Amino acid sequence: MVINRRKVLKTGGALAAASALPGVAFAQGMRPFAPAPDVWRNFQTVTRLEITNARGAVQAWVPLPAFNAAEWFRPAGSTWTVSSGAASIKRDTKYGAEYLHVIWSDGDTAPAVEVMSSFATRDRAVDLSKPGNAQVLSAAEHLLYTSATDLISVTGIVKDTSDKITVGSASDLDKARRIYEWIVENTQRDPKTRGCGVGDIASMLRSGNLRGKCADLNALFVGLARAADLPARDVYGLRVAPSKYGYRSLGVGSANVTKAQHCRAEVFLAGFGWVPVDPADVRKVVLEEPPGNLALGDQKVADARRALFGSWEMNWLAYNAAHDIDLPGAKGPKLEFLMYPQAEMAVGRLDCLDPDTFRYTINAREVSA
Amino acid sequence: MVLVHFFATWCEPCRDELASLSRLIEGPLGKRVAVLAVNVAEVPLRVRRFLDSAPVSFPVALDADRTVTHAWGVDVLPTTFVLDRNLTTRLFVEGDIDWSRPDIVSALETLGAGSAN
Repeated sequence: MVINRRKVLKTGGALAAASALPGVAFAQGMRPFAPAPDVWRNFQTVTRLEITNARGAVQAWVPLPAFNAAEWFRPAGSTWTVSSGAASIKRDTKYGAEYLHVIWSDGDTAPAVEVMSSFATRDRAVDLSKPGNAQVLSAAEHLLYTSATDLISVTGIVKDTSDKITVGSASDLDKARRIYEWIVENTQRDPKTRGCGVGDIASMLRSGNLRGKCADLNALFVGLARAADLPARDVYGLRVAPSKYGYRSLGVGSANVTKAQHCRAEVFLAGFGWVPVDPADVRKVVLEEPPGNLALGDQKVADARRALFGSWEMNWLAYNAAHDIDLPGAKGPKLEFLMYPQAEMAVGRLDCLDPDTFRYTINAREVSA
Repeated sequence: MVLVHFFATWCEPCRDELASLSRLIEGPLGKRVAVLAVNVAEVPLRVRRFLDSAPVSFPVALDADRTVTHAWGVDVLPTTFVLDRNLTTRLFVEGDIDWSRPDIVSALETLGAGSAN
């Protein structure tokens, strides 16, 4: 067993010795969904990855919660243990995404790695009635966040749709809000629509098949915003706690968060900076908040819809905002986004959904500072 | 005739249609129809595992980065192009279809006869 400890301290001072709090009790009742900056909460996640039926050279890439946003997300380092070989933190140069790159020794018949990450979160909300002296984007950042990616086109039907949605807008804030509302209104399940999407937003729009999960619907927001020359980005992450507002669809109910990946979105508006949005979660409330299949006019939906343009509840960790990532040492294609662990053997990229070869668990707990 | 069929293993209607295509080429039209399936943007090992559990009797190509998918203008899965012997697209089906339906079989037979002429 090789133990390699490294603490990458992104904030001043390490977390004090942590004692686990009892799991946060699920809210007994719901209250209006209205996240606002409050206390900082500290969390730890443990990701354990095992490769079964290992043959030859094996390597893996595990996303780390490294998105640095001083007002609402503070990474506090990762430590890890590997069964053999070596591991190191790598950083994508274009977007700053961080991940642990593990290369196991040949002959390790049970490659495994366990990564513990610590971070602090605080609910965020932007007062959209009071523009101020927020950060300014550099020309390079403006270009980066208004450009196309492999899955997010900003021309053709995406541009045409964006133009139709935003025609007559009084301001960039107005444009962004119109795009958000359009997605909430239009991306609904149509049982008469057969077929599945091919994964990119232009195809979604051409086919009229506006169904999908968070990565699809929030990518649609990002693409439509970018096509309107509004810098926008997906932020890929993971839910780590229940919603304190009692929304079952917007939180997790246990410490096992292995399947709780969730992508959110931000749009940059002059005077406000990066503004958090999440139209995909509004659709999730519609579909999944008990008793399910709620109308858009339901109070629970209306509250979430109002709040998720401009605020996020931070029972969620942020990995990165990266697209089209070339993983170092990988033989497989570049990743459209990095929100799940990835691994390869000599035979090629492993299927992260195949429990017979690729097993991983992620557990999260809230800790005291 | 050649049927170029775009699919993904996670797409439920795609799974049903792969079986339908296998029945098509194992049936009376089989000698006049070739099928080429194109898997869209999936990890090869996943596709191989899927096909091990649900074998098909036609070749499957892998379009890992959607280059071919985009070049053919595919926006929905499954999508099938029916090409005649000159490799001209004669039919385009977006969404799943039962290839054993009498009207579909008849349409293919007519296409096949037309191509022969």
